[in-house]
Amino acid sequence: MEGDAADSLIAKLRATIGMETVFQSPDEFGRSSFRQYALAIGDFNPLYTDLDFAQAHGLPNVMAPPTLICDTWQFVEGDFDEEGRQLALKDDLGVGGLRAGNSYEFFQPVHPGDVVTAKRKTKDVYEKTGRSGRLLFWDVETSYYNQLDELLATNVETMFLRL
Amino acid sequence: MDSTTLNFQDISVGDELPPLEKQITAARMMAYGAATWDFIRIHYDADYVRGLGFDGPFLDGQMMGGFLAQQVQDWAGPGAFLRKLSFSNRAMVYAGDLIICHGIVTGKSAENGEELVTCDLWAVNQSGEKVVQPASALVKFSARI
Repeated sequence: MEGDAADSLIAKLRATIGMETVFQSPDEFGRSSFRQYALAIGDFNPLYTDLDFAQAHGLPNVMAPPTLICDTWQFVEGDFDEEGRQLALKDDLGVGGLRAGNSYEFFQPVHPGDVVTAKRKTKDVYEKTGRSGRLLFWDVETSYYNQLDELLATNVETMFLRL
Repeated sequence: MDSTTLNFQDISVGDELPPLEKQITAARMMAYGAATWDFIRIHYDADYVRGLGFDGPFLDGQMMGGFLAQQVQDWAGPGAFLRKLSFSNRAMVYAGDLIICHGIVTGKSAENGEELVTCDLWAVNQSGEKVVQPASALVKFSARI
């Protein structure tokens, strides 16, 4: 990336710091989405699928695999483009990066009837110089609430790209 | 998977979590994209992703979070609650790779009735290359909420 293009990208990303985008899920999570995520991971813990087992371990209902709520775009409405990106996320940051890591915090189990509101914002934008040159990092923080406005989880995603 | 929850008193710093192995396949990567409503082509479209300069479709780095959560929950048992989990990806993971997740107990605390255990986690591929490091988890053994 040319120096000017890199600087303009950094400025564009920095301008989004603190700006919050709110996604309101159009429907409840549903049990099958728990089973589908658990299947994709290859995690057959009955906490996620077996009501009797979940209740025997102190839960009112089956719970979601912990990271599902932070990893899914289920709460975003509308179509996706030819790149596979949801149209509603197009203006999210406008750049695609690779994932440097996630930092999740879970406050209570997620259940099938939960209707999620996700509040998403850029938290920080910073540069590092590696062996291969300039790297741009940005942290996006998302907070997830249920229909009672109770905090379910937070996730800070760290993305990066080579400048 | 054992269906009993570990007793907080029986956990010691230095205890190792049983390793968790995951054979990465194109099918599992596709299943994960579908399960998370993520249709980004870099995880399944070989011609497209090679055109971008990568070796081939690569794992969504978030899947490592799912694997590590499974590893910790399997070890702690169904009554324990995963309170925090963080991880850093160090290398690309492709279909055909074998991932092995490891972990060790690094701390215990019991304050205000909250029984908490911290663990350091990491993951390597079949060549022994670190694909995730550092990573850590905080697990609550007292009541979930």
